[in-house]
Amino acid sequence: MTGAEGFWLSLISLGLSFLMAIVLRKKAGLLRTGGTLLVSLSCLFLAWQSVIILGGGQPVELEIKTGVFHLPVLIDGLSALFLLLLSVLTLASAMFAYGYFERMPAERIRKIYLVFPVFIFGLIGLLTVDDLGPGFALAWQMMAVSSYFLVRWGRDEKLSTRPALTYLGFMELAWLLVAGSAFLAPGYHFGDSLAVIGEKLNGSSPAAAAVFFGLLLLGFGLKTGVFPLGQLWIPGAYSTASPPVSALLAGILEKTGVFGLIRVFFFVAREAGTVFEARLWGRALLVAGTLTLFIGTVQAIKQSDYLKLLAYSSIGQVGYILFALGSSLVALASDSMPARSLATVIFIGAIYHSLNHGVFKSLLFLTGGSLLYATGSRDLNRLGGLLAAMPVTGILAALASYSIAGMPASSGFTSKWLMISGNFLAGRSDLLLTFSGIVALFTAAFTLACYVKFFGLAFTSAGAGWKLKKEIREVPSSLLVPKVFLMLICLSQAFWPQFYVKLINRSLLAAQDFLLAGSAVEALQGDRSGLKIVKNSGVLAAASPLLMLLLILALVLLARWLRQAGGSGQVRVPAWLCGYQELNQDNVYADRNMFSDLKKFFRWTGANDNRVVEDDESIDRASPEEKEVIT
Amino acid sequence: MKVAAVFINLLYFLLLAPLLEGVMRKITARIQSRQGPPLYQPYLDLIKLLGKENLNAAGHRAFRLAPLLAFASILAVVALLPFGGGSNFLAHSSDLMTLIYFLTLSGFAVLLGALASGNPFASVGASREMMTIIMLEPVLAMTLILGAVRSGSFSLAEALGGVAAPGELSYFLMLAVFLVALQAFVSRQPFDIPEAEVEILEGPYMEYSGPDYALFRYALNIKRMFYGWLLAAGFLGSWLPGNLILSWLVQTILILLIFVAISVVGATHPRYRMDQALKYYAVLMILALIAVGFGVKGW
Repeated sequence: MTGAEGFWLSLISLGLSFLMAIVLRKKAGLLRTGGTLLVSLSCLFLAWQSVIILGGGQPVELEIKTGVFHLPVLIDGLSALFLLLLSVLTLASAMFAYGYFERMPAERIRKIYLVFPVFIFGLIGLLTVDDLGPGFALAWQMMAVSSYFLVRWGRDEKLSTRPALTYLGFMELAWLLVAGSAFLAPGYHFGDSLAVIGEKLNGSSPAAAAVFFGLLLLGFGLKTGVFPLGQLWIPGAYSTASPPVSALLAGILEKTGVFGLIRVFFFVAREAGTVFEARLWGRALLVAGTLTLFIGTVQAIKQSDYLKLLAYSSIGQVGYILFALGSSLVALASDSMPARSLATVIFIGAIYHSLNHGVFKSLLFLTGGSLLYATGSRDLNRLGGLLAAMPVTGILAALASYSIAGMPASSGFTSKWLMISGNFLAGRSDLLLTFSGIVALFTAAFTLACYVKFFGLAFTSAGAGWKLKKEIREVPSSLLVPKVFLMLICLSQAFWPQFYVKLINRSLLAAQDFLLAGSAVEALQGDRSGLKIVKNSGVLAAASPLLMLLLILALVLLARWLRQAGGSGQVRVPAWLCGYQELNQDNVYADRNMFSDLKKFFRWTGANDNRVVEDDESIDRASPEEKEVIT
Repeated sequence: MKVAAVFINLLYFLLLAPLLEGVMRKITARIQSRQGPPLYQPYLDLIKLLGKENLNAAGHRAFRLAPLLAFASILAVVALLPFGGGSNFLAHSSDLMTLIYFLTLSGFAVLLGALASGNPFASVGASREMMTIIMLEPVLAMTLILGAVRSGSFSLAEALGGVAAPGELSYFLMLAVFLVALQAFVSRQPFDIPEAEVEILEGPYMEYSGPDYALFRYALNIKRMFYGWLLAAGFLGSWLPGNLILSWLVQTILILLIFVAISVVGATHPRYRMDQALKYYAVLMILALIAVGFGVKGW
């Protein structure tokens, strides 16, 4: 137990939470409180453990022996970083769930709190277990089966059985692919650690190694949501699970797939030596990532169900991470020295984007949960003008949307800047890198469109007051506090990128057998104002969120002064409708009309069905004439 | 000098931008056999609007914030521009991604205002504006990226130097694409689809009046001037005379001439439908992509 106390205490808290759910079966209210407390406690222990490791401590290596099986456990810098993300997101989501599940029937609360700690336990396992054998199987099955139940209990069983089963099926398939791949290493012993697998692979034939890496790409790709595999289960699962669970699915479950890919392509690959062709696999990841980011995001703008919109956009954002991982490998394999040193910059961008996306996508799913809680509708066609009724949720949603769209002075901007500018600078003479970078930049505008639509039609605009015949109020503070917590982290990621980049750098220093170890990180410099990519003391690219904010603020003040310079007052008037103002409520621009020509133009990308199935069947269906589209 | 460059740029754009609208109105009127307003009319319009009452159709802050953001972000773009071939003091903490995203931010502000107003016409306009941003901003981005590919740096001054270096196939192809896209960049006919005055009544700006509208109008003028500037100081930059004052004068005359050409095209072409325009933009995008490909290959 040297240096791993936090890890053990965290697991013990989760175990206690599980036991409590069995013991306290009769008392749903107490169970909800106790479960939330114990899970939160476990998150704190986990965060403490991660901070110790990231703070310069040694990586923790454990060997758990149970009977014939050895479970190798490794918590290095990279695991610690993802564990930190896990603990932050789980804390927010557990707190949100406490308020959100208040209206649930007692029967379901009991079941959920029995399964929830198992789910978190499984996720911790996936980030710490260092094999592809028994330990991995245990962690994966805990994660998969428990989240299957969580998805299934997210909605009415009539609606949830199919997506939940699909989800479980693909998770099991992914497990078979990943676990099976290891047998391609000559002399593989079930339970070998990843490093050993890599070494054994070193002596194998290139063909076997290619199949090995291919299977792992497929397996972990299924989990992260690579096109076209992600489309098979992600939209169904994320929009079916209740929003606090979806926040975890999109925030961290998906990232464990990314973590797996990093472990394979940046750690095992190093041990594998020459049989690993960095250029080939980099290109494969790059193409897969570019397709995923483009198709996922374009599909997202077609959705009217906001939970589905968030789900498809998760696919798109993970595409960015895969794109960067691939781009990093290609840059590493290139002959020129500047490109090689940029590989680390792009890689840091990928990790930073994983952290950022985890936080703002969770915040968005919690916003979705708040919308569902307050309005009972998941249809953007029926919402509008909620900023007046739900100001705090509205402002938080604006911030999260702003961040994910990567607008200036946001966390999304900095991570996308690292990935894309690194990619372009490394790919000056590589067509594939340059073209995929252009697609990534092009897709950023789609992401903006997606979230302009989400925020604009839910919170600004008008309509919810007329279309939903109920009074809409701001959600209780138990649902606001976790969102504010995530917002603060999101802001720190936006304005303190130097710190996060340093943290990621440190985590990589503490990581063993890292493929990019030793390649120069001097290319990326952080100072008080922001980040710079430099070469021979010349600045190649620079991003400074703080400066951008100050610039915009100063100019907004100028604009404000100009606006008031004439001394004009303000009058409140109804929206003008050619003299028929009293008909405003029959003339609301609904979501299905947004970007209709563009949707038609990109019909070939699929996912064109934007029907919304509401939970509450009493909400009346749209009449046929309401379905026509205005261009 | 490096600090002063920022203010000189801001003043240059703030003072000259309305004149360009005057030029466009005058030329358009002459083509339509009208007398047209005097060249300084847009300045008077702005002053008049600033003194009028603000009508607020939405009742929440997003509606009032949008014009401020639109104006501020387009000025932020201007503040980043290199002056006289050299970089200013903001250049050490910004690059061309910053510029592209500030430009997107100004478009986003228009959308925010349009959707916040709750007017269906404005929403139609917002939807069209966003589609235009999606399809057109990449062409601008690729122009700058070609510069970055050729110069090997993301810093704005060097990337613009890369844009300006003539003599290769990629330069001429990108120049052609930019010229054909210019009409759409400045959203004049046949590409004024988001505003489409006679069809959706100025679309996104419909609910705005008084000082708020003045800010949007001013921001739009500055944005148009930015694209003209990019052609004059970017693509044609290497042909400008070496003397600072002289080159600045030539550049200003070039921008005015560009807007004369834009007005002539605008006054003689009817508006496209959105779906037609999308196809047009897609072709532009593919051509720009080919140009970048040429740039990567060093052709």
